Amino acid sequence: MTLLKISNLQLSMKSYEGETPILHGIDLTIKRGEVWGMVGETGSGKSLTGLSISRLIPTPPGRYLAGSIEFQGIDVLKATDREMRALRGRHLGMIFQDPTTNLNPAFRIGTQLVDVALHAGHADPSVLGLSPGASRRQFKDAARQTAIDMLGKVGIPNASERINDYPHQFSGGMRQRVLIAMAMIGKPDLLIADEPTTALDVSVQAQVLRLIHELVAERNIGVLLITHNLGVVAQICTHVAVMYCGRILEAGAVHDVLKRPSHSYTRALLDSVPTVHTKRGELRGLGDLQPEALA
Amino acid sequence: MTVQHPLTIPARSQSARMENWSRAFYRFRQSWLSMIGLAIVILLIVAALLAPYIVPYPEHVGGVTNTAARFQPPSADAWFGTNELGQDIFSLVLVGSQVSLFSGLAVVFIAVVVGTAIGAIAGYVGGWADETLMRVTDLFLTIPSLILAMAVAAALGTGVFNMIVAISVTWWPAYARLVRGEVIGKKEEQFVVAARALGAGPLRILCRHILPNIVSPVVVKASLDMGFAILTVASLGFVGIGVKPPTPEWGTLLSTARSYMPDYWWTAVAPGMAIFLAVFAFNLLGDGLRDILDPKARR
Amino acid sequence: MSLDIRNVTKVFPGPRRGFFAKSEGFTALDDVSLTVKKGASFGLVGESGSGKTTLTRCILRLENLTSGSILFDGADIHRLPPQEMRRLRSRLQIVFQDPYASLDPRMTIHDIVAEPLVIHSDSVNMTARQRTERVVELLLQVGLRSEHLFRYPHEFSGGQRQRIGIARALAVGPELLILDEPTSALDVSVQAEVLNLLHRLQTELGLTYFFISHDLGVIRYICDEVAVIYRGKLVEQGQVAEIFDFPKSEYTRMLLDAMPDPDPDRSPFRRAG
Repeated sequence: MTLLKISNLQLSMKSYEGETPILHGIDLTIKRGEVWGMVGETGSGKSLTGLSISRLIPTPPGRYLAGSIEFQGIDVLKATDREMRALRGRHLGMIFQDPTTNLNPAFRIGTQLVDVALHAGHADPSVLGLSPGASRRQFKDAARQTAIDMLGKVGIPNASERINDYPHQFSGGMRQRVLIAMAMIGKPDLLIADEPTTALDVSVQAQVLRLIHELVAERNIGVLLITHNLGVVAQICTHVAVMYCGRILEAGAVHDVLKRPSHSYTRALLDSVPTVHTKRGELRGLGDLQPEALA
Repeated sequence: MTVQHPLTIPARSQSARMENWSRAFYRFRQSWLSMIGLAIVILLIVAALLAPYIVPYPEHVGGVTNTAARFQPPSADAWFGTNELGQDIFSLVLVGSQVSLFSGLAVVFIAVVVGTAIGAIAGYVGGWADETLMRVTDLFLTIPSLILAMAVAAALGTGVFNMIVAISVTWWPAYARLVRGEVIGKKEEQFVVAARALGAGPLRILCRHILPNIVSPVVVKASLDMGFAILTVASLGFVGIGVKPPTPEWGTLLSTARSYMPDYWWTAVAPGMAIFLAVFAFNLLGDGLRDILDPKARR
Repeated sequence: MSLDIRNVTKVFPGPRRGFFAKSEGFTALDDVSLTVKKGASFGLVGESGSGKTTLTRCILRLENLTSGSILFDGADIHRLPPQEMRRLRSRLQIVFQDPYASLDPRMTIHDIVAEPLVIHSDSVNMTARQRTERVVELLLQVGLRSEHLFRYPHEFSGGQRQRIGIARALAVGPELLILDEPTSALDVSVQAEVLNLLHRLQTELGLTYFFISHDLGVIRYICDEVAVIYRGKLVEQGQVAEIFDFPKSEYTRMLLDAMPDPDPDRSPFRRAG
């Protein structure tokens, strides 16, 4: 079942230099149960693609020149603000890179989670297991229970007590898990994770990846994982799209792309990653690969 | 990639610096309110500089009276009307801008210099020096500037110089606090740590690395403060300390006009509008500067 | 030249509790000893909060030691008088992790790279003209061009900025270069280029590297010897090949396992499913 269909998405940004095209026609289709990795380097437009899906790019300075983003039959670029708000908390989950700046330090973890649960619950009471006519009291209790359940599910021990803690009492890995819990609370159908593990240690990264992997298996959701780390893609993605300068150069099943890359840029990227098996002098970098030849 | 070019040294071009400026101006231009502020400020400064040469009745500024033409309402001859001595109010207000702008500038300048020096030392040295300097700063902060100015006027007599000193004494602590905070923040920045690792001494780190990087917030505060400085100068003029007559000054003009309200309203409107315009313009300019120099504080 | 770190312990005092009582301090480094040999690359691996950055700050004497000593060519860095310490700094340089924060945004590339030459002008002794020539030479050496001389840092990409940082560190001709996660903020292709640049510079200039990283692949690629640090303690140290192929400690094994490999067949999730 197709969740998301991006076709020929073209975006430009206005700045001092004038209007610069950023995305040159992105095509991407995500089905349920698929974990898409979107890899690319700084400035390749991968994050802007992710933000476009939940329409979080301010226009202006941004401007969509052409294309459409269809999410469960709704054209995101043409939807009303009201429709978008309902979509964001409920059907679209988002996780951002930095777990420290995306939690409000002044509020308890629980308060922030319950807020999200209530928002999702008002859009669709079934998320909290309630019927539309439920009382405020019921909503509040159910939201709190959902928050505790979710926190437990992302692997925070003693969730019912830790829910009263403030963000600074959590470690970086735990905060990232809280953000994942927050994104998952509305039982979204698509999870967009923008560099969810970049700020984390490798050991914590492994935990977070395992969590995402389990969520996909359990709920059959679709995931768009935006990252620059090919290792992360190889670990949990089923599919991968390689972006460069606002274009998708190559996309397909992860084995096909990473094992038998057809594009020279993908090959160069793979040759750039030092693994424990790389010998000194073997690293390539982009070398003499000309950007013009890639476009 | 590693082809060895012959050792050529390019001329130090100004283009990089120019581009920074034009980039900043581009962002400034995005807000038309800032542009209006900038335009009025430039107009005020030009008017103040040229005032003695362009006013229609320069002799009135020197104290010449014309009792035959007392309280003339605004007309083609006297744009803002005349006052109780028959002097042209437009001429007086225009020349009055000199005192107001100059005093405001002087107050802010002294406050910035003194405040930056004390704040930078307190923030950089830290420890007991910080403690001592900041307590002294707090002490000065408790003095109300108008009262102090009156006390100074009573002790030393009225005059532009005394007024400027009196206001500055109470204005520098705000800058000392601002600069101290900024210096403490920048002290831990990695490029400062890098300079320390290179072996740079404290004076070099402070003057070469920290201070140039905190210019933005100080400039923003100074431009916002200009308006209030002008207002304070006018207030002192209004209560009768500050500039001695016959030198025209906005606050004094307003104060004299007070007795002839509301029949001869134009005597008050012109200086009042001038004060309003100056304060308003400097605030708009400051807001615009803050948007381009200090993006974090943007709403 | 060699760098000897002997039983270094660093305790940060805890926050004051009440007027007299002080809370317990935080031990960032606990009895750390290691030796960096001339001409070799020594890697230090650890996760965030393990004390690797504290150790570099101690080596540069930006932080005082609680106990132990750090010997550079036999001279105890923390007991040198300021004048001699300043002279020693020119032989001991550092490249920082974040190329965006470690260059002064208000200085031109020329001024940034020339700064160590100005600071150490008593021993370097160059005219302004000679300094500029040296800066151009350094820029070419790290793969930048002389046109970049009077530009500002914000006009450069992350990789280029890190090259500028390397040029600055090389300016006074150091013997030991401390590389504090020099590539962790860079894209992989840029990282590969910077790593190859560092490798080339080492052979050309006979430099000794003290390379800090959390990325085992990078350490394996560039280093001869490695030490693994966990919560302020060295877990194990030895030759890179030995430690990576036959890790003795549980922690090192866990790190190696958690390292994502860009080969889908090595994924722990796929193996399970």
